[in-house]
Parts: sequence; structure tokens; C-alpha cells
Amino acid sequence: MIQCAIKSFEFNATPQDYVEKGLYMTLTIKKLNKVYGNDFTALHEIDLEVNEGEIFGLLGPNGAGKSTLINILCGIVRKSSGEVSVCGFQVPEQHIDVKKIIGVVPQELCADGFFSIQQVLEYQSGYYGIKNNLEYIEYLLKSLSLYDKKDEIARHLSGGMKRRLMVAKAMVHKPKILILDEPTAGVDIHLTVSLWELVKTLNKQGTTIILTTHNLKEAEEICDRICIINKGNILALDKTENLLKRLGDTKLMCLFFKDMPTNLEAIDDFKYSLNKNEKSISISYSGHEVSKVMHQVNSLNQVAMDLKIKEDSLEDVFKHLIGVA
Amino acid sequence: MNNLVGFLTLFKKETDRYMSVAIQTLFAPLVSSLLYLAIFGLPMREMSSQIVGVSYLAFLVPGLMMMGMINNSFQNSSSSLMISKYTGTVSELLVLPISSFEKVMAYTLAAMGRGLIVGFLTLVTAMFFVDIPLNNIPLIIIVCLLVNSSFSLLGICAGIWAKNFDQMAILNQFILMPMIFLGGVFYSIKNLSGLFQKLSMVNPVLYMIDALRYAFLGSSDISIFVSMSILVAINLISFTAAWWIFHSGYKLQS
Repeated sequence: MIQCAIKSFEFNATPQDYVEKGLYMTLTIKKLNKVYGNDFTALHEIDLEVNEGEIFGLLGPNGAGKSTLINILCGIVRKSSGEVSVCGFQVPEQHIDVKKIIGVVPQELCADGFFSIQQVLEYQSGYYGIKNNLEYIEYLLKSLSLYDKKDEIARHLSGGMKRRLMVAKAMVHKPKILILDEPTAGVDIHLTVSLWELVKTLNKQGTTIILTTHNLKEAEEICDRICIINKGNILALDKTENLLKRLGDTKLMCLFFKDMPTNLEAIDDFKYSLNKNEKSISISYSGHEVSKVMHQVNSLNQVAMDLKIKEDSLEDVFKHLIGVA
Repeated sequence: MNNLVGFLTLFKKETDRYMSVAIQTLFAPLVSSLLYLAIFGLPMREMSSQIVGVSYLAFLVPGLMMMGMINNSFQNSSSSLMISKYTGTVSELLVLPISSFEKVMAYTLAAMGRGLIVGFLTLVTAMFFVDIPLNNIPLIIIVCLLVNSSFSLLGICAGIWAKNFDQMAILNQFILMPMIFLGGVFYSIKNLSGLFQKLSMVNPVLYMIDALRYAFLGSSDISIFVSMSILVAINLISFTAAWWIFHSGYKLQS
């Protein structure tokens, strides 16, 4: 079995060394910097590792540096300094080897103006050295609900369909690493669900997934680990569940009453807020204080009409880290 | 080549691209060349004038072939890259596991194909109307290959360099077209006065047209060795430039 996260990764070793020793990780980035020509620092001293077979989320607001990081991996942007290694191959020195094992769905919509979807995917297979890929192309077209449109010129497709075609192009050579930069932008809910199903299937088959998304709910549901990045710096990098715990396991209980309780001193041990219009009380508590809070709520001597529990979401973590109120 | 299938696929795609719009890319240039032949050639035929020992129409055909080949080989690679810029697919070129050498060769060979087809169609069609001597067929083929390759390579450079279609139009209308028209498509430089003759000598297209005329007619204004040396030099320079552009990511990578 391949060991995934090796702390003592040596950049002087050849990829063959790692394959022979059974030692390689999917992505290693060390002290990566990118400064554009106008002195804008897009990435600052980025250190991260992506393990084989995981779904890794890269989150951040617009201009955070997510796309720059992805574009460095796939050769669209040159790094200023630092070390980047994909499955043991160094970027950019061994860029052809790197490109063979990654598939990229770029953020910007683009589509060819001359060829049909089927032709585009056949060419894409050929670029990766695959001569006869019709069976897999058909599987992708059906999985992404593009099969009925396979003879249409790619440029004439709607935005959502263009996005799906870009996803199909990125997957057509069965890449070891699939990089998805905002893959669901402009795609409707039904197709978003089918796209994530396909991504999960590929992941189960061993494909490592690196994705950026603005949809934090999606990231929370699908990602094994998440890196939150802002202004070129990593703010957090952890397993998704650990990030969610980071704000202290705080929960919010909202109680709705027919008549507002008057003896609010009964819940003085907790922080709470009142909404007199809704006749509701919101009580903030930690996970281990459930019994205590229920006991004190009983002391209010009013029957609650409804109850809602709100847990911290990734969105709360994200807002907290990037300083959005 | 490391990725032969990838190279062949890119070549096929570029070829399929111009073949899918063949009326625009192959037959329209042919019609243009034949119109030039009719407009400039037919009145001169009545005057039974001769240049370098052959009829004016026979003199004109290699020039028209050259004009068609230069325009179309240049436009194929340059417009393909320009269109890629506008559709956003140019960045995909950077992501493909195809080396800079393979990319240059694929774009060049596809563009050469278009130029050669236009040149061949122009010759075959003209042969119905004009008696054209074929003095040295191997040399005709070699000159056509070298001319098409050099302008295919220069088209790559132009396609990457130009920011928009305006800049490409400037290159086409203010540099390429004057070079072709002043390169002796319609006349022999021996008919020019001293100053214009000297100015013509710095125009590389003159040597290309002259080399092709030599191959067809067996006589020319300039030594064939000089013309061929210049053709080879232009190919080497333009290949190096096109390869460097892809290799360095000039105007493609940020």
C-alpha cells in the first residue's frame, strides 16, 4: 500500500525512487510564493499536502489565491518561488508528467467553436495518448447528461452544459488527480447532484479530488479536508469535522412560545437573546450542556410550541476566519 | 516525440478545423487567385508580352501560387490561435501533456497542409488556361514546403503575439500584404528603377517568389542558391521563435 503523507519528502529524489520505495504523496507544496508583475502577492509561503484518495477543498473569497494555486499546478501560471510536487514529479521541471496525471476543470467557461461534443472528447482523449476511448466517452456523456447533445457544436451549448463538457474533458483520460475550480458555477441543482455523484464515484475508484467552491454547504458535505485561504495565506487547514469543532462546539437552541416567559432569570446561566415579535428565545450552549439547558428551560414554566437547534456550519467557520461579521 | 498520439491528434484537429470550413479556407483563396489571373493576366496576354522568356500568364502563376500559400499558411496558424484566445481554449494548450516541439510541429504541419492545398489547386486550375513549364518538379516541391513552413511558423508567432484581431489585421494588411505585393508577384524586379529594386532586395518574399519561378520557369532574377539560403534561414529563425514562444509561455503564462 502506498504511504500517502511523508513528512520527510526529499525533493532531490527522482519520482522513480518514490515509486520503487512505495513512497509518494499526491501533492506537496512547500513555501510556495506567487507575485504577479504588478507586485500583487497572490500566494505567500503556502505549505500543504494532499493525500492520495482524499477529497480536498480549497476555500476562500474571490481573489484569495485559490485559482492561482490551481493554475500553478496545471502550468497556466508560473510560480515565483517554492517547491511543488505532484505524485513525485516536480512543477514545472517535469510538467509533461504532471499534466498526464491531472485533469483540470478551469473556472472560466470555454468551448470550441468548430467541433461537436463527441469530437471534442475524442480529441481530448488523443491529446493524452488514448487512441480508442469511445466507451468511456459514452459513459461520461451519459453520466453528465450530455449524451443527447453529443452531436451539437460545443460553443452552442448553454452555460451549464459547457461546464459539464469541461468536466467531461477533465475526466476523459481518467486522471489520478482531478482538479475542479468552481465546477458547479452556473449548473442547476439536479445536475450539481449528478456531478457530485460522479465525483464521489471517481474518488471511490481512487481518484484524488482537489476542488474550489463558493458553496460551503457542498464543501462541508463532500470534502475530507479543507484549506481556507485568504489574501494568499492559509488561514486553516484541517479535516472538515475538526474545522467545524474549532469554534468551540457551540449550538443555538431557539424556543418558540405561545406566551413569552417572564421568569427569564431561570436561564441566566446561559447567553440568550429574545425576539418579542416571534415570541422566541435563542439560547447559546455547548454540546455537553444539553441536560442543564433542558432543565433550565423547564423552569421557565411555559410550554414551547416549537424548537430548533442550529449547529455551527462551515460557513460560520469561514466567516470567522476571514473576518466577515 | 514523447506523445506521438497527442501530436497527431492536435495535427488532426487543426486540419479538421480548416477542412470543416473548406469553402472559406480553401476555395475562397482559389477564387481570389483566379480573379487576379483574369484581371492582370488576360489583358497582358492580348499584348503577347514576355517576361524572362515566357508568357506573362506563365510568369504570373508561380507568383499567385506563392501569394495563396503565404496567406493561407500564415492565416491558418495565426487565426487558430487567435480564435482560441477568444473562446478561452488557448489556456487548454498549456494544460495538455504535449511538448512545445510537438505543438509547434502540429500547428505548422496543419497550416502547411492548407497552404499546399491552396497552392496546388491554384496551379492545377491555372494549367487549364495557361501553358506553364514545370522545369524542376522536386525543387517546386521543396520551395513550396519551405515557404509554407516558414509562414506557418510565423503565423504561430503572430497568433500568440497579437492581443486582438485589430493587431492581427495590422500585421496582415500593413506588413504581410505589402511584402507579398511588392515581392514581385505581378512583375519582375528587373523592371523596377534602381532605388525600388534595392528596396525590394530586403523583402524576403521576393526570394521566395523568385525561387519558385526558377523552379517552374528555369530562370530567375536572383541566384537560386541565395534564395534557398534565405528560405532555410527564415525557417530556422521562425521555428526557433515559435518553439521559444510555447516553451517560455510568452503571452500565454502569467
